[in-house]
Amino acid sequence: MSSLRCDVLIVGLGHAGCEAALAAARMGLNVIAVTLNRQRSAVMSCNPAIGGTAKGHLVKELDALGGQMARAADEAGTHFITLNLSKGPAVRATRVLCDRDAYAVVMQKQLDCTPGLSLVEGEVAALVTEGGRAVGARLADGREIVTPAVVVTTGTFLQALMHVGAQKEVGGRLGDAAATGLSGSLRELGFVLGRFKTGTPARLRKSSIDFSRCQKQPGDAHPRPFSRWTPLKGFPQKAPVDCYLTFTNEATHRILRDNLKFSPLYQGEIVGRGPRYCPSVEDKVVRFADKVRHTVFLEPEGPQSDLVYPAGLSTSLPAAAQLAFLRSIVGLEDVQVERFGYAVEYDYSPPTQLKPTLETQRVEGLYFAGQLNGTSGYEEAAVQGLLAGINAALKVKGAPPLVLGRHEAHAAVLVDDLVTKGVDEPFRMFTSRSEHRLKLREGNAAFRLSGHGFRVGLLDGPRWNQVVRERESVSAEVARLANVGLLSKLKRPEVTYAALAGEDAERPVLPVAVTDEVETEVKYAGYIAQAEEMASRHADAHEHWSIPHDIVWSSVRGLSAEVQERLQKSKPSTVAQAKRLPGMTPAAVSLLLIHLKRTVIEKV
Amino acid sequence: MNKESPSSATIVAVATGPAAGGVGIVRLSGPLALRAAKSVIEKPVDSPAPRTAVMAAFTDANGAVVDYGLCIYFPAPHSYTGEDVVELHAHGAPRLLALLVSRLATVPGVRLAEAGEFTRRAYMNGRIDLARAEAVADLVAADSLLGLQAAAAQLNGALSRRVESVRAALLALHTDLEAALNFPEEADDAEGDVATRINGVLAPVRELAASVQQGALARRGAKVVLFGPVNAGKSTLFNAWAGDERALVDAEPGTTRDALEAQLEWDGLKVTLVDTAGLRDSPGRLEQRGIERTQAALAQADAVVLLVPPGSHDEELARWRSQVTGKPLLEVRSKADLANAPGLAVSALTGVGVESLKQRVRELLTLGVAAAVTVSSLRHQEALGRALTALERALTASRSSTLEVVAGEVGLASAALGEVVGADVSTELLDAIFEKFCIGK
Repeated sequence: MSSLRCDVLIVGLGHAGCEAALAAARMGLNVIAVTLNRQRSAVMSCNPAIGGTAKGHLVKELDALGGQMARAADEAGTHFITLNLSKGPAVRATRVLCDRDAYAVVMQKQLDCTPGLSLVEGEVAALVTEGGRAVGARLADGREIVTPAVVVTTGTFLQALMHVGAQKEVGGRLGDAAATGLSGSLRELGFVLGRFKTGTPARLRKSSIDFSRCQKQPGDAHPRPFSRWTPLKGFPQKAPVDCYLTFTNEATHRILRDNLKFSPLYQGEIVGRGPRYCPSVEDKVVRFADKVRHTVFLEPEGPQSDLVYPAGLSTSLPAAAQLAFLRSIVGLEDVQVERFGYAVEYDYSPPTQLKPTLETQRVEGLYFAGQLNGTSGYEEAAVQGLLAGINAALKVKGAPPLVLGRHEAHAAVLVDDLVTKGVDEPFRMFTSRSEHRLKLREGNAAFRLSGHGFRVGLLDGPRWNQVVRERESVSAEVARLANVGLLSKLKRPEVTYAALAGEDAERPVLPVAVTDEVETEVKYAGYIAQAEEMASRHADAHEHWSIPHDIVWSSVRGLSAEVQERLQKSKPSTVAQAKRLPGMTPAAVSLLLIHLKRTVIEKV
Repeated sequence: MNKESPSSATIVAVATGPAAGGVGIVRLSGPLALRAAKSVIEKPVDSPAPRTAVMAAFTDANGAVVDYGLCIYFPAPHSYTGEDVVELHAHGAPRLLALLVSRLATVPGVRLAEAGEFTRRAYMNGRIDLARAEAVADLVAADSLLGLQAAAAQLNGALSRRVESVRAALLALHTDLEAALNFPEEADDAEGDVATRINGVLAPVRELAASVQQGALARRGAKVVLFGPVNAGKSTLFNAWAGDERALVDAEPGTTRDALEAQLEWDGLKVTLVDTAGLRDSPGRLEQRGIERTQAALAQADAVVLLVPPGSHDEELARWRSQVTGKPLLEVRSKADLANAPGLAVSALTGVGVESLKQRVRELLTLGVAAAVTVSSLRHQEALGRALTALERALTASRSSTLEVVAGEVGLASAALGEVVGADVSTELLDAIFEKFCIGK
């Protein structure tokens, strides 16, 4: 049997896999990415949009580090909006509706033209390890791949089961097969797997919708690119589309209630837990029985496409019931359905089995990223894929890993929450999860993270220099304002940077991105200092201490059995992580530190 | 890796036992120890000689001297913890030490020490050996068995119910704010009239912060200061009050020649009654020593009774009032037998109004809170104080800044209140959002 060799093997080419593969290859390594069907790589399986609150932040961070998602969204984008414009610069977020097919094509083109990256079609049936280290993988057809590092990004495809009403079909996405072998292999290696479910709505024929009866939602009149690296010339590339709003009504709700008995969820056919922030429409009607209507967002899948994605109507009811409730909605009276909605159940790996590098605790050189880790959303997946790809590459190169701090990225909050606290429902990022929110803005993502991207070899010199120059011009402008005595004036809430132009004769001409950042930094300095003081109140000088993997928790003197058990279960790898576990008192932290110090001394 | 890095927080605590003793020591450890200590000392020495006791006058938030003692500076690494350490040696009155510690704990970068934290730092920095550290560890462990959760149990039932009800209101507000920020397409404008809603929570938090303080009063006793012009009849009232009391413990000239103190007990509440007699003129023209003594007494007061004779002018009154800041103040017209005056009036001679005055002072002191808050009261007080300031900032921000700033401050307040009862606020928030809002495109 032939055997292939590479530095880093990527299993799966969804949004996590694409970023992992591109990152490792761009860092100069030999990468093989295995996918069931290369024509289906980078497919947007659910909604055709990228970004949104917190998700937009993740994508900006990914972009700042040198990831691809934002650039691909810019190329395929048809409807750009900035959310939360008036609520503050830290919650302001970009959302881009894409031409669904174009997005996958753009990303596939990138995969094809990246040196060092080769795609292999097939199913990884088993991982091969030696003495607790990953050494390769075996494909279902018998081929073997030899490699020191594997990034598994299988999304919803592990033991995937789709439900439409009482009908069940094996598969991770409509029209695609499931990955059946890998779950067993992971279990054999000792990994615990759990079960989650998610759902997607029907796809509607655009030509059958009466948009004149819906509310038009155009994109921003002057769209700004998602990626800071997208050239303004020729942007946006795609013709713009409009989205529309419509609403469910009493008749819709009655149909949904009458058909609940056919829902696989309510029949107990689905065992996996679904996300609370993305309920099916039948779920909404049950849980919010007093709401008279629910919003439906009609999102065209592209300027040329005849498909519309009705966001808000995820369902797993039988086809006939779906058609009936859809046609009760204003504008959809004559709607034709291209594909019905369905729920999908899949295996996930509880992320507490990971280190903060996304390497598994159990097998060295094996990394997990994306929906496999119990998250939900393209953006959450992509940023994990990027970090896992970077860390796999760094490991192969023998370089220290990249672990971002909670104070420098939402992506770090995401990873830290995952590996420290674990998940009990599919995990979605919210800006409220971050105690440093005011600092972690879309607008300063490059200032926060591009240095890391450059250091690990993902971002080239010219791009890094561009960020350095921009950072310098922000600082220089703040200093100049102080010199001319306008700083305290700008601190006043009602005064904007633009409004001060009249009394600021020597003002230089600066890009909007720079002046926005100047204004925010000046106005927020006090609030940020306050929030940071609070966040650091219980900061400890020893937070970075690592906890040996083989620590015997019962030997830590004075810890209660309860706390020992929790530590045993979540295996924190640093003191900081241990501290964030629920129930970890300052006293328990003291006991842990004393123990660590003692064992270090004993070893010396 | 065996040194506390300079980035570690500065911690403060009373280093001597909880019982009142002759001398009480407040200890600070960490990079800001000296700077923080200077903030509670009148005219501090710029760079004190290491390990040398220096005389120090300790001040309250208004700058008034509350006690005289010693300050000793131990620069790192030659100190108990191996960090910069400052010890303030004051008189051992629990309320005085509590005042100093809470002032120090509000200096940015300084916080209350956790149980055993000084010893832990000492061990980490190689200042003490393992045996001693582990002895402390066992102590800390015994303490943690009761645990931080037990902090909730240490709150008496009524008070903890009040904390929970304020927390519920605060969480509802925080939920709406965060829903509007995190889900603009589903929960836009959920926040409503933010300033009004913050005000609604602010009042009970303010009350709560005050009542924890008053709860602590019940334990350590309260100081009531009689204040006003010399001809107001204070001494007569003082004598009537002190003399009336069967539980009279002690009535003797105070430590200062011209102030009288009496230890009384009113329905289980220990009260020190102080007469600031001997002030012969309006406060602006008093001799310096008199001002200092009176101010020291006022600074330590838990309640002040301003006694004014009939016929006092408003201007005169305002001058006396301006001497008392940040303390519960009761204004009383004296010599009610001589004139008909509006408001609360007493006549110590006839006894008219004395009983109701006593009742009013008692209400002022306890705000109706019966039981004391035990061990962690200072910690609770500090957390409630933080909640209060965060809400005040939220209110300001609601008029002058963005919604995300308001939400951030409300979040800090919510977290601080959560600390009092040992609740994980972040999980509660997401649960509450999904409970209330139908999220999901």
